Amino acid sequence: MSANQSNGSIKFKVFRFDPDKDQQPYYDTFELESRPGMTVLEGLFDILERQDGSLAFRYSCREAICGSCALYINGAYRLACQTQVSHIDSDEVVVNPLPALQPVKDLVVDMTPFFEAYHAVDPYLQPAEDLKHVEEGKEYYQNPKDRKKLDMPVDCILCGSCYSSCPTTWTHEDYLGPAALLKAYRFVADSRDDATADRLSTVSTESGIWRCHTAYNCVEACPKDLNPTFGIQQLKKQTVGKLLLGRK
Amino acid sequence: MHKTQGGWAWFLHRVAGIGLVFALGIHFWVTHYASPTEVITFGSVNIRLQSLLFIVVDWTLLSLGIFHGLNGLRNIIFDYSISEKAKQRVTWGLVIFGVTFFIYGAYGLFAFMQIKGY
Amino acid sequence: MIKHQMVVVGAGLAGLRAAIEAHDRGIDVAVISKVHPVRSHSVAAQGGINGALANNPDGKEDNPERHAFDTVKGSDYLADQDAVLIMTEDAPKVIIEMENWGVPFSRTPEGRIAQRPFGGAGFPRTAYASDKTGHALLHAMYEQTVKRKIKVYEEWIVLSLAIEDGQTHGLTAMNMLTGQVEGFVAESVVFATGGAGRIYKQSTNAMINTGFGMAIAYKAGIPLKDMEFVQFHPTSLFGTNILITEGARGEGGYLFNNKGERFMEKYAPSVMELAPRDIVSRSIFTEVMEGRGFENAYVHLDLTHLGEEKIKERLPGIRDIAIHFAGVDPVKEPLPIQPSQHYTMGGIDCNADGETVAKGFYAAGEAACVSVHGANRLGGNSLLDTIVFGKRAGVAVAKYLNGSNKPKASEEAVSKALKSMNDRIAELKNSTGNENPQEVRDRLKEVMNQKVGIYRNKEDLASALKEIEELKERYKHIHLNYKGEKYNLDLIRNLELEGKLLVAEVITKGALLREESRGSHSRRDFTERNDSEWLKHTMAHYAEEGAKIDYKEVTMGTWEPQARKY
Repeated sequence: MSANQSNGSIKFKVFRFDPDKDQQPYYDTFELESRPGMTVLEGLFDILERQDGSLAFRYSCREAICGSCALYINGAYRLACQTQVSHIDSDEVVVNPLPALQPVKDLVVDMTPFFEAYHAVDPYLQPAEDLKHVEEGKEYYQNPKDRKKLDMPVDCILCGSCYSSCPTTWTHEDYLGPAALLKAYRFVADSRDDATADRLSTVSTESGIWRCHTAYNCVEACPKDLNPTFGIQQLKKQTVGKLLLGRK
Repeated sequence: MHKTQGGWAWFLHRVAGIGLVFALGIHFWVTHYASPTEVITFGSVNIRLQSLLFIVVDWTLLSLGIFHGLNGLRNIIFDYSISEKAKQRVTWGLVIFGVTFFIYGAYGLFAFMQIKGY
Repeated sequence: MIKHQMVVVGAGLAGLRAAIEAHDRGIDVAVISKVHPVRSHSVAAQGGINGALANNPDGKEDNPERHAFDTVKGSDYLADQDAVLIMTEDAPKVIIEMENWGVPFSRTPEGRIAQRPFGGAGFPRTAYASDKTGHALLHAMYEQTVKRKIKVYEEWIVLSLAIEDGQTHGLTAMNMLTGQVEGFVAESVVFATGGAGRIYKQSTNAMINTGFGMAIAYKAGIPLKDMEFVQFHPTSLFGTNILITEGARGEGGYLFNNKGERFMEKYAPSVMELAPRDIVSRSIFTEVMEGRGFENAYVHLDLTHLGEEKIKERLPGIRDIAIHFAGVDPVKEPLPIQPSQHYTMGGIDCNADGETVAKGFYAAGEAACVSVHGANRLGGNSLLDTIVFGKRAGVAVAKYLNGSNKPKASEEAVSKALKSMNDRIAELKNSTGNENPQEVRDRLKEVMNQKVGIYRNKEDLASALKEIEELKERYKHIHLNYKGEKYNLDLIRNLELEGKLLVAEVITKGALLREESRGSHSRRDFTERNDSEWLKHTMAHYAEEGAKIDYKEVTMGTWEPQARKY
């Protein structure tokens, strides 16, 4: 039976944990009034506002662009705001924080390792000194074909789903992870960026691209349907190309 | 930071993988399908290994297999957070292990070459 | 006590731009934000950013003056014309700077920044990155702060300002992860805290846009300007009120009523769907009220004739939104849309350098009111506003801090503010009042939606004001449902609720007093614009007993007010 069909009410089973107080995590179950189009995030607000003011979760845009509310919902990585309760094929909505990140409280996890990896790849454009401008002081040229290469990687919202889903991050705490590597690829793929050699040497380490074993968990987890593995494979290809041909 | 650290290992792993497909193909075909009625004995192996070609195939198989297997093991170990020092130890340990077994295996094949008198 | 020369509050485009500018001028700056920077509401902007780049073949004649004229006309002549000219002249420069910083703008076939038509604009001058321009800009801006290693206090919420005798000394803020309140000593504070959309039940805004920053400044003695001017975006998705960009109409989308008529013909025959937002919103509202809507609630935004390829290339984000949130694929079906609160034209009163009445206190972005948007903002001008005036605030602060009579922040002033904030929190936590804060919040949103919406009249506004005053009274007797320290959303949201009530009161009072219709402020009982009496800015000053309102001159210039026809 689908979750939304149960008499206008819906069960939310929510992960609860305060590492300072609780010996171990537990679940609280809440009975909510369901309504058409109701999202998991709206359900969490209903709990916070009407049943349990102690619930902690992150939120902002509620339209799948800010990346705050990535959670592990009924066995899948999803943005709570983008997930309609009626689309969950179960009679209860089971809400867990992102696995493999340290819990802070309830559904809030510590994103520090995720953003440390992001910082480590120098995530900003490094244009060449002699890069061609349209005119002096104007924008850099970029033909639409080159721009198209950025369509996929620039759409990342840094929600952390891929990082949390990657089997390598589960065992290797220094692994840069799919999002940071996709960010590195985003600049390598950018015709305006001139730091490819440095970028490749940054990611081409035993804690970087070579730790990706193409499990494709990140691709499956990404709520924006991006393909971090593709980006990582491109980085590997370019690195090996450089090794073999001495390409700059 | 090391330049392109791990790049060669990744590349050669793939090359060895492809090489193994061919070398294993030849190996299986020769031992099991080339003359289906043959009963494998020391004598028949001895006769086959009179050919330099088979010695090269077997050496290739041995080296690719050892490299691919041990590098795979190294990759699995590297998937865990271990120190740079531990990584180096693992790598060198596996290199020594691999080289030793390659020499041991190659030595066996070398014996047949002596019979033939290369 | 934490010390910095300058603290920027809010990590959206305006805040980060101010911090970058000040950092590059040698200032020790830190940013405080209640969310990670890329979660700020700037990220949700879709359609684009205006600037007379003249890259589009149809826009060769465009220039900053024409951009300024469109902006002033769009503002229904309430914008300060000198500030508008500053903005439009800076526009091409800041867009190019953002491109040079890595923003993946969509391109013309020649490789230049592409521009699309937008409402109220004489030329296609809205530069865009598909339909995720805010996302592209904010990520690039954040990347620049990462490059500069600018300190960001993430998930810290600012609670009060320490301003004494017209001089800024710092502020208090809570680390949400621990619940600790800290004092920040700073000679200069920039508020870039965004809009107040969430005082309305239906809003396109992020859940975090509570107007709390405006309220903190207001309570600290900084006036709020022109708050009655609230923009309703014509096209929000029916149900969730998620924004469907104006770019959808810019690319050629049509609006239809239930009779299958392109009803904009009646309201703005020359520009049709690309009339400014106030006009299109009122038109849709009228259609629905007069029975020509669907389910008495919405009209259709039809994109099907644009074709699959164009929709997927130019509007992929809104296609995703429509599919995920409404189950409608715009390639195949029209979208159900309705107007919804979208933007706060008013804000913290400041000039084009972000300066306010208090020394060392600055404002920028949607939280501020320079004013460049007047009574109605044009689409594509808000991203521009954030970057132009964020940067200018950064310049002004650096000048102020590097100036000859260097200001000194007083630690005692901050200690005092810290103590009173800790007392306030303790009082809230210990309150045994019998009012449920959620009822206050729900009712406030309902009142604002019903009585301070697209069309207004004296009766509604007076009753809204009365009810807000009652809600303020009820708020004094609320109790918390959770008294813990870590990530206490109950506490934070109920501290913010006070701000919501204050801002709502200012909006409503300003609207009640303004007996004319101008831009987004449409009175049923005063349907005409009245320049002889009301061509002036509303200024609201905080007082314990309720907002005190007075007025300020509008800076005019080349353009004399004309009838606003499209």
